[in-house]
Amino acid sequence: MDEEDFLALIAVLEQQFRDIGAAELADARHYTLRDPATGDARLYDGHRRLKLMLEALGRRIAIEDRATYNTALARINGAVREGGLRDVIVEAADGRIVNLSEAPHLSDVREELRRLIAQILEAPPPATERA
Amino acid sequence: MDRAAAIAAIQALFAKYRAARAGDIGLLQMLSDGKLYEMYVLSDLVDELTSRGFKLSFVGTSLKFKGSPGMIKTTDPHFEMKRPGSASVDYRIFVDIEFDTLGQNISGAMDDSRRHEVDIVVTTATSGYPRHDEIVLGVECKCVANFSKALVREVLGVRRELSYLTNPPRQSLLTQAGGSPSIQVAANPPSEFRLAYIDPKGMNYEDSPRAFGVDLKHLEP
Repeated sequence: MDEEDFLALIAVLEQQFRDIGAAELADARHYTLRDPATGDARLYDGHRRLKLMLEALGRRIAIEDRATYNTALARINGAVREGGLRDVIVEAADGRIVNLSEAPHLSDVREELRRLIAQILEAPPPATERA
Repeated sequence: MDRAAAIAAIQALFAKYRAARAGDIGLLQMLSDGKLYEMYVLSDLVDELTSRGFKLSFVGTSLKFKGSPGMIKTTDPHFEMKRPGSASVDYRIFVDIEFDTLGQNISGAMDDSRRHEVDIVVTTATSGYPRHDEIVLGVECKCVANFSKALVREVLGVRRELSYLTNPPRQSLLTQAGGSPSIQVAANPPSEFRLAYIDPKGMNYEDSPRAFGVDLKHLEP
């Protein structure tokens, strides 16, 4: 794939981010490189930007994943000497209670994303963009 | 993989994500707001304090995070913490707490600037809004997918309201209480204060805040 291909993929990704209510992940300001000599910022090339955007998506999914909840709960219960933590709830400002134990199972999605990133990384960046 | 295949793979991934995602809007909002990340950071802290020699127990059955911060209530579920070798409870761990600032202590301010929020606190206080000098360790949790310099400015502001800057660094309050290994902080009172963040880009911002007693810790589930 060439730079034009990567930019096309970025456009698709930006639209998907907007569709899931995560437009901030598409903000180009997060994907810039500052030249230490001139102080000027410029966008990463498409290959690099696409990878960073997909990794940002991965972090977003991780904080919604039941596996993260289970890991944290087990770690807490492994550390405390007395009393056990059954679950973790959040009381919203309007008094509504949300139980974090009901977080969705997203491990499969995260695994698929990891595979996708690896496949995209296999495609070398265009020669003019390598630095 | 060519362009068409990559586009199809991205669209399939998002379709799967949307299908698996929480249908409960309230739950989705709390997850997006970072409450699960706070829990993840709390688990790291509890594990760390145990390894430093403190003894922890949990009071309650369900830990409760709050949509908006407030005061300490010992009727709320929390952790109790004993110093190494201590038989009595020396500290408590609460989440989503506002504290009375150093500036309030100096000026007697009564406007909205008198308190700031900290996501996780280890404190000697048992009720109400803890004073700045009753917090022995505080953690701010930031799970924004892309780290920015604004986060550093924010935690520097909270640190300013917790302690004076002092040099040379001194033993932290938890180190003085017997915690090991020894931790030095450039702060008076020498509370520990850290920013836990999810984006590895934050590692590029660690050095300068450390001079002001702010540690940055990368924690990514």
